[in-house]
Amino acid sequence: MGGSLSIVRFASVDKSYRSGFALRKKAVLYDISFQLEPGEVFAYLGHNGAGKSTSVKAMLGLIGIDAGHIEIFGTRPGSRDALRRVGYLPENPYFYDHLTGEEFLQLVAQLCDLDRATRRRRIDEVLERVGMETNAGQRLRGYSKGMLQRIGLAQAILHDPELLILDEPMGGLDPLGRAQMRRIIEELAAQGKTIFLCSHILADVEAVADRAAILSGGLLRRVVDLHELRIQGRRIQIECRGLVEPAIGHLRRLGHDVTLHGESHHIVVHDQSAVPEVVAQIDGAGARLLNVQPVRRSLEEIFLEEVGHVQPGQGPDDVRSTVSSLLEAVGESTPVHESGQGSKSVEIPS
Amino acid sequence: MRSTLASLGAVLLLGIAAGALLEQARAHENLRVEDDIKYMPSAEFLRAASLGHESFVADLLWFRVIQYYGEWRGGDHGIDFFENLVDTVVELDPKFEDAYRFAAQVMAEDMGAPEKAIALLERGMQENPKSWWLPFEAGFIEYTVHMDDAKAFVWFQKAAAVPGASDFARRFAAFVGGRAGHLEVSYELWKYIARTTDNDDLRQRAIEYVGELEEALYRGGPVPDWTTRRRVIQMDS
Amino acid sequence: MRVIAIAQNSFREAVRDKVFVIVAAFGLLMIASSVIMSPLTVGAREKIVADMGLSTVSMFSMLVILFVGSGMVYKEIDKRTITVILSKPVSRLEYMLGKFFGLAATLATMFVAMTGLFWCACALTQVDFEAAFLGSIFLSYMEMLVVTALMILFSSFTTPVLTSLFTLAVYVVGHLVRDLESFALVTGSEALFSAMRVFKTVLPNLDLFNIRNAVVHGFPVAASQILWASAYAVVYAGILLVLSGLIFRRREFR
Repeated sequence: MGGSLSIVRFASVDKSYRSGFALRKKAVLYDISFQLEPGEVFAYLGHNGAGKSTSVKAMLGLIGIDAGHIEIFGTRPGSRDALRRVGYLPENPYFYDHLTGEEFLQLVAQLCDLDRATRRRRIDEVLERVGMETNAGQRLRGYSKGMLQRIGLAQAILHDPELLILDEPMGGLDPLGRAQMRRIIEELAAQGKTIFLCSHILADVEAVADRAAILSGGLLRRVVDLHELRIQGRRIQIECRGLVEPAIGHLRRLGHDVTLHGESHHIVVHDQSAVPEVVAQIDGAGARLLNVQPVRRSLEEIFLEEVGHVQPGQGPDDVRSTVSSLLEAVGESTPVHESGQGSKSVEIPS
Repeated sequence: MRSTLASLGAVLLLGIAAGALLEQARAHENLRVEDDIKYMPSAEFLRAASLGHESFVADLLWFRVIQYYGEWRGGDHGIDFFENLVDTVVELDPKFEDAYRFAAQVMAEDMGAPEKAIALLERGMQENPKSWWLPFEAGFIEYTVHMDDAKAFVWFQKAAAVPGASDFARRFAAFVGGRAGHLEVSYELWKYIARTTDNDDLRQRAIEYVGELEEALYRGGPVPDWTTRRRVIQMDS
Repeated sequence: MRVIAIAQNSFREAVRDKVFVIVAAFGLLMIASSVIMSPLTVGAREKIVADMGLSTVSMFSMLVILFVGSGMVYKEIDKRTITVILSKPVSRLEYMLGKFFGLAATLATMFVAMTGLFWCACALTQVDFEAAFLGSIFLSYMEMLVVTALMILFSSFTTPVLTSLFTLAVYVVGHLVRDLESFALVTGSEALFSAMRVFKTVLPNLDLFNIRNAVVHGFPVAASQILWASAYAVVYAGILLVLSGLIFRRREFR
């Protein structure tokens, strides 16, 4: 799926680093494959050290890859054509601190080959957009973290790129800043920009992303379609006690999940409109209603499912051994994940 | 507070120890490196080490030479290394005319080695064929120290022959050729010295003598009696 | 143009660098001291004032290259500012060229200031400021451009300390190039002699840019000498810069 219209395409990308005196090879990315479609907000979720920034740098041509293939706008990463259409906000941005915000944006604008008139116009526009018009004359040296993030975003959108790569854009921002950043991202998405968002904050991702790839230990575990997840979120869970058989079977035949938890039953209803009927059933069966609450399979749940047993900083090699040993303990054979487009199968060799 | 006192105490103790050790080290000092002159590296080494700044290094060395001469005049040490030093300087910068001149004067008058002085000047002349100072200086030395009129005449003529030579050279050639009396020679010589010397005392004396000689030569004044004392102004024999 | 933008930024950064200011100040001080020292010169005044002026300009710009320039690229990689620049449509070669021209402009500023002060020193000590002095200073600048390009080359793959060391090493050998052959002659080895000839061609012949000794003694310098040497400098620096662009292209920025 996706094919030639994808903005970014990763195909079985491997990357290792050599470190230490013995130059031990440490795998950082293993068999990463995904596609980024135009106009979507795609999140890259994972621990620190999972390989998010590495993937981003590979996408930008700042580092090379050991195996596999990366395409961005149909060309190789780091090509002038590609970079012209990309805006990048790095994690913990640090810029030339002897420059003022205005001077810095001028420099960036010149590097993007904007002519003088366009430069002026765009700089004013983006400064207003990120809310930095009044501080633009201050030296970057004196900027707070939030101001740096904002000027960082400003330089990323200055040349009106089609693709925005944002690495932890909310990092270090206060709640107001985060809300503002979120709003700007939403606006940009509404404009039709494609956004690649790296984050380890699930709440932010849940709020803005269309799809989320869960990266753990250098492996792409799963790609989650967040729209579907939201749809699923309409489920309601009803807790009751004293429910007995005819009623249970009846509820099940109606299509609701009924499970026993200790002494009470949990009934999961997939549509809010069915709740009154179920409650009536419970009442009619003489059972006692304990609780009615919406239940959502959150992104966090999925995330922890995929990632929970992996420590931050572990590489694909570690992940593979951990997972396979876990599976052995449980007595299961190698699993295969299939969820939506653009995900991969995790083949764990024994 | 306590740790500060302790630190200060440690510093004090170590300071005393250092002082004591310094004395001991000095007492046991066999090889001293104070004579940079004695252990001056060769000209070849210096040339390589100056990385294109030979002229500048020659200047720095020249300062040292002047200082060395001054120290000798002050009685600090001998003058044995003067020749070597000058040698190094002119090796580094063969066109350093002033070095040849000053060194030749020192060698001729202070060291009593006029042959070496003239040899040095000859070397200088090879490197600086357009210089009239150097042959002039050679002539001067021949005349005043060696008292050899004939040789002096040859040098003065050579100096005069150099295009752009000052009148001095011609006049001296003339005088030594015997076309004028001894007082004029003296007059010209002292004028020369007054004009060129960097030694203030000498300049003062020279100016005085010039004045006296002017009186004697052009205004019918008395012949100064010191003119008979120095051989430099006697033309006969 | 992109290169100019980077060059302007590098220039601004270098000129505000404290180390640059200190080195430049000392250089100016040295030239000024020639005025004070002139009474001590015992007749060699013109030579000494001229020597100090011409040599100081060259020596102190070397110091600037070694102490200010060598850290320029490394600092950006270390502080990650480079990722922002290289995520823009700028090629690695353009980046290197920008750094080079920025430093070249910084050196030019220093040269102009020092030459100005040198001229004043000459005026104060009644030494004639010959036109040939300008020729010598110009060639010194060309030499410094080659050394800067060398420094840029080394900085494309190694740390500031090693960059300075390598640059200094090549600078020293570059001035001893003519002696290499005679050294080989002394050893009598054919192979060594041929090797030395190769070195002589490949290494920068920095003694070509030294006309100080002639100029200080008032010898005239032919314009052709200056022109040919300058052309050599430009081409040689160009080679080094292209190489540095190639090496830099293969670098990864974590």
